[in-house]
Formats: sequence, C-alpha cells, structure tokens
Amino acid sequence: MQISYKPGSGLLHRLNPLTKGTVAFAAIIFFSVNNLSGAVIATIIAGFLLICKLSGVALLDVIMSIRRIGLLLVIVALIQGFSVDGFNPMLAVEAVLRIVGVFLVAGVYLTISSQSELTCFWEACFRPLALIGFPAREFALIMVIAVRFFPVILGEIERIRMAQIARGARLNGGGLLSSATALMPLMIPTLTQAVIRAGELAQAMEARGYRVSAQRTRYQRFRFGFIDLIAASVPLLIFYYLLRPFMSE
Amino acid sequence: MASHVTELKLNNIKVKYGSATLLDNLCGNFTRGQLNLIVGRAGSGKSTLLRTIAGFHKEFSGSIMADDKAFDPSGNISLVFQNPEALFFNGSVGEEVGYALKMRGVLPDEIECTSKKWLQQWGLDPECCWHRHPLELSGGEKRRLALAACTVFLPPVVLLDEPLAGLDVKGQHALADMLKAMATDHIVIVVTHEPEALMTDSSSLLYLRSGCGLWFTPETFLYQALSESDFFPLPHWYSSAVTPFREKPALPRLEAGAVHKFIQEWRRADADKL
Repeated sequence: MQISYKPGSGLLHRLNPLTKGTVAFAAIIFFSVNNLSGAVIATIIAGFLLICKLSGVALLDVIMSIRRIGLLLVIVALIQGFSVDGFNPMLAVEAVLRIVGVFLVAGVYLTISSQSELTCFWEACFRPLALIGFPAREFALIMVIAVRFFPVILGEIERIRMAQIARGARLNGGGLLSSATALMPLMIPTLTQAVIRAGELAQAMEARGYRVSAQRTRYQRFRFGFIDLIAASVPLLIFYYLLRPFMSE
Repeated sequence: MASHVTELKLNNIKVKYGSATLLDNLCGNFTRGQLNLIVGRAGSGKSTLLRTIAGFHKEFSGSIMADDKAFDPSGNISLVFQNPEALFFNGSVGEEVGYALKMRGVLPDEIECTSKKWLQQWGLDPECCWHRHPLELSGGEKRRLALAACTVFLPPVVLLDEPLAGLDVKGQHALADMLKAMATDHIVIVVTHEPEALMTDSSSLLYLRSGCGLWFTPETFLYQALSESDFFPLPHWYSSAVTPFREKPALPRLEAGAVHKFIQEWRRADADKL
C-alpha cells in the first residue's frame, strides 16, 4: 500500500492548492499541539474521515498505511502512558490519536494533491523569499522532482542490492566504519545512477525549452472559489484556537 | 565454484502480489547446454520469476529443484539486471572484476590470474584495460565487463534480465555469442524482449502470459507467432517472407541469411515439381 495521488472530482480534490496546503499544515499543527481529550480528538478524526469519505477520497491506502507506523505508535503509547502515578491508558490513547491524526491529514493531503498542485503550494511558500533573491520557483521544482524520483531511486537501490549480494557483497558490517565500508557497493552505484539520471533529466528539460530565468505560464490555472473561502476558515479557526490562551492574557 | 548443476526444475511455482496471481502453478525445466529464454509482455512476471529463482522473492509456493535436490540460490547464482554497468563501484577494471572472488576469500594472486583469463573470455584485453576506470570503457566494453564481473566466480546458474538492451546490433551479436558459449557450462536463463537475437536451434523458450507458462522450442515458437498475431510480434520482414511457407514442415531461424536460404530452397523445390 503506497500513498500517492488518486485523481478525483470531489469537494476536497477541487480545492485550490494553496487552500489544501494551508488547511493540511494547520491541521497537522493542530493535531500536534492541542490539549484536547482523547474523545474530542477521536471525534474530530471521525469527522475528518467522514468529510473525506463524502468527498470521494480513496481512504483505504491511507488507513492501511497506518500499519507502517505501528511500532512508533506502540513506543509513543508506552512512553506517554507512564506517569508518576503509573500507567494511564487515556494519556497513551491521546498521544496515539494525535499521531494518527497527523498521519491521516498528511496522507489525505498527498492523496488529493497532484504534482503540479504540490509545486504550486511549495512555490507559494517560498515566494516571499524571492524578495531577497531566493530562487523560489526553482527550489519548489527541485523539491517536487526529488519527491517524484524517490520511488524510482528506491527501485534502483533494490535492484543494485540484489545484484551485488549475488556477486558476494556483504552489505551489513559490524561497527560504524565497517558498516560504511560494506555499504560502498550499494552507495556508489546508487549515487552514480542518481547523478546520471539528474543530468539526463536536466538535458531533457532544456531540450523541451526549460530555462531557469524564463517567465512561464501554467498548464493548469488554479482558481480560488467559494468553497476555498469556506475551507480557509478552518486554518483561521485553528490558529484562533491555538492562540486563544495568549490573547486572553 | 565449479558448475555442477545440470537441470533446474520448477514445481508448481505460484507467486502472488496482493490478490493478483502473477505466476500460477508454473512447472518446467531449465537445462545446461542451451540458452533458456523467458519471453512475455511487460508485467507478465518474467523478472519476478528471475527474482524467485535467485531467492530474493520469498513469497511463493512450490519448489525449485537443482538435480533433484532443493535449490539453494545463496552463492550459486549470478543475477544480472538491465544495464549491469550500473553496478560498478571500484576504481579499476581489475578490482571490479576481481571483487566477487575477493569476497569469496580467493588469494590475491589467484584473483588476478583468474580475472585476467575471464576478461579475455569476455573479449576484453586485460593488459589494456586492467588499470583503467570501468566508466572510461565504451558502452559494449562496459556491458562485457559487467557480465564478466558478475560471473567470474562461475556460478552454476546465471540469471540475466534483458542483457542486450541498449547495445548496437554488432554488440548484441557479440554478446549473444558469448552467452551461448557460457551456456555450455552453466544454466543460463535470460529474460528478453528480443528472443530473435538469442534464439538458436538448441534454445528453449518459456512464454509467460496471464500467469501461465508455455514452453516452446524455437521452431514451435515461430509457428505459434506466425499463426497468432497477438502472441509475439515477429519482425515484419520475417513474417512477410515466411508466411507464404508457413505450412512447410520446418521454418528458418530468425536470421536474414537463413530465411533467404530457406526461400531459395523451397522455390527450387517447387520449380522442380512443376
């Protein structure tokens, strides 16, 4: 099960990329730092999943992927659950629910956002830095390409690993230094291939007319609609909730 | 390190990915002394079968026997993927080809001697290239060095995934000849989209389709490909030239010279009849 973009035409899919990104990041911050009870967090997660379901988001892969962080959840539950009075299961459940909430939000965000939408959001995030000469658009492109090529590189590593083991390579050394040496047959070919691939991609992009300094139009124009206006209230509410203690002082 | 296995037998190999069955009760033999080719469309399970034989894909049912004993792939296989030159990580050709022997505890003098002989066998002059960086070699030389480096320890079973990809026609022919020579002492199993370049009279072909495996000799494969257009796309020139003669008891090899000779002979025979 791999979390990846699944096209759709539901409410969440149609949101502006900026709205999607802002809501997702606000929700991640909310799940990370709130001090609500387990029951309330569980209700919020259930509500979030219901909205996703009604919006036609493919939730199965996201939910199944929680298994991957199973060990992390157990460790967090054990660490958070123990207090001076002994083990408190409610504290453990609350900690687990917070992590599950963050994971679900991130998973749903990646499921409903295409590559161009992710680029658009990253670009918008870095745009203020362009005022001090930071190459915002290029940096956003680098990040998206890196994410896009991650599965390809992983597949490459697996192929090289199998072939080197068949040659007789022992890829697990004992100490730190011997581990690093043992990984040479895997690391050097992988890095070489990554550099070759990067060079080929750069040439292919230039051959198609990509120039760093050129002004460019967008293949997809994203609009900010009424539904985005409603969705934009979510991060505002979250920030209001989080900043409320400071406001009352 | 000598090659002793003469036959690799697949018994009801079944491989599943989630709920999809990729290989379903696959049975058959790969033998020494011939090139064992695996063909089929993308996603038909060719590479998965190689990985299963190599012991890297462990989720399967059935058994793989080597001369009637359970096959232990560890140390007994060489697995060569497409573009094997991507595996280079040593600073010189000598180190690269000798790496597999070094990892098996062979003495340095013996490593050099064996490696040089093996390089020669693969058509590379060890005196010229021993100290050169592997990436300085030409495309064809890199491919031969990679194959030499992967097989220098003489594994009984050599598994290759599209070894001819990216080579020019001359390079393909040279490499095909080397693989055929290698097949005399090893069980050589090749996944390929270009069986015509590797097919000899003594080859065997495993055609994978919808999880099932069909075994062919080169001749039966060509008959099937000529009679069923969906089966395998033969080169257009071959189909055009041979189709009028497809009722004949034997078909020529997928080679221009053989086809020319075949047509000449049948035309002469038909003329004699008239």
